[in-house]
Amino acid sequence: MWFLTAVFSLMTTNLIFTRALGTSTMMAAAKSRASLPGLALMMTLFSALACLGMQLICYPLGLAALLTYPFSLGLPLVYTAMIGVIYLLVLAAVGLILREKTAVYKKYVHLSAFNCAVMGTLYLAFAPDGLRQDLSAAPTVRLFGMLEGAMDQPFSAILFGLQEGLGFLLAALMLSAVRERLYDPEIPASFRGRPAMMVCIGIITLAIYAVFA
Amino acid sequence: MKSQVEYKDGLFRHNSVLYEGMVIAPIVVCCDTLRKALILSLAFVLITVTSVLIGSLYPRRFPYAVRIILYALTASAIYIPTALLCEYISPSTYAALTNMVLPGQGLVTGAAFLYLPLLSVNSFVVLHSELHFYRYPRKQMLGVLLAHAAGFSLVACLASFLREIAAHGTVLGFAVDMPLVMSGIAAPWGGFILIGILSALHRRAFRSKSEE
Repeated sequence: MWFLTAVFSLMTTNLIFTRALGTSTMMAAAKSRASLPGLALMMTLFSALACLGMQLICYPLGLAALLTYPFSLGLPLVYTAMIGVIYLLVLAAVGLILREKTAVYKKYVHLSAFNCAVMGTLYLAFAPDGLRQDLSAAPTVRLFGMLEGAMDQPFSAILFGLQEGLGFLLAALMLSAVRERLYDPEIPASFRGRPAMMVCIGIITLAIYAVFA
Repeated sequence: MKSQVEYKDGLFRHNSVLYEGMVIAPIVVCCDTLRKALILSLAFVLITVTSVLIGSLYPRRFPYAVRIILYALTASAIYIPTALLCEYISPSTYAALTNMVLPGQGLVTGAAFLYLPLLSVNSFVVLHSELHFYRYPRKQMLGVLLAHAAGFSLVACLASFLREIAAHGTVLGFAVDMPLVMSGIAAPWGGFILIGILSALHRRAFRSKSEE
């Protein structure tokens, strides 16, 4: 039962299928199954660290006013700075820990840093105040049983980031499974590849909307 | 002559959305009416063109990662006046840009608030500035950049025009006599399928032209 709930929640809150975030990265990741886990892992790490960082800024440091208007207009600056710091730290860590293999993993770091899926996770976890009430009024099933907006605990923030990363991995796995079929010679040449993949994502999204209608 | 070809390519042949598959999310989620597409395009052009131009002034001696952070910070700073300008031009459309249909919840106010701020980390700013735009001399870069930005706006407006007719039976808010209205097309799945079909038509149009 927990597994079914987990799959349902990963689908309904999936950044790619319900919000179209990180679609182009995911389509690129689906090209090679070998690079998929590395990229998904790095994006999960970025999402979790960014959510934790913002949680620390907003609550223990008492800067939750950043989420209220007119300061919320500066949220892109705060989030970009946050991701920028994590980007440099992760690059340094990869260089120190992996040494010879740095070049292999560096590309995942570059791809994950200013990715819409990672930034989108931050925006969803720490939405501006007025909007947070509207979003909380329409609760969704979440993998770890929490609602959007309940970010006052560091653990909740990390779980939120982890969930969005897992959602990305699930979506990329689903698309990599059908990818070869989308390049089949039987598909009209104009649709082959990316256009067919877009239609495929559209149909999966339609199914999700239909199931939860 | 070569420049003109590159401008045309940016607008049509190498269109950022249909050919390169970039900046898809705001079109898929937000562009279900032409008014929304116009405001989104204005924001995109202002944020992207200004930040890529300013970014071209940053010294090349900075490491790649630092340069990318600086580009994104510049675009995030430009987002603030851009958002205020868009709200000033059309408060109702600016507010409508934040509404989206979510599974099992219908139209949720504020659910799509993130797409306008996310324009500050779009692929033009954080990826293609280095890979593509900064390879040109500054004057030519501006032309190519404007052509690519216009290409995005063109697709955003075309997709939203088609979705507005199909989903709401209107054009720019004026009712059109449509025999069938399918409101579901305003949801993200409609955007994905429409962009897929437009990409296929784009590929067919430009491939047949080169084959001839």
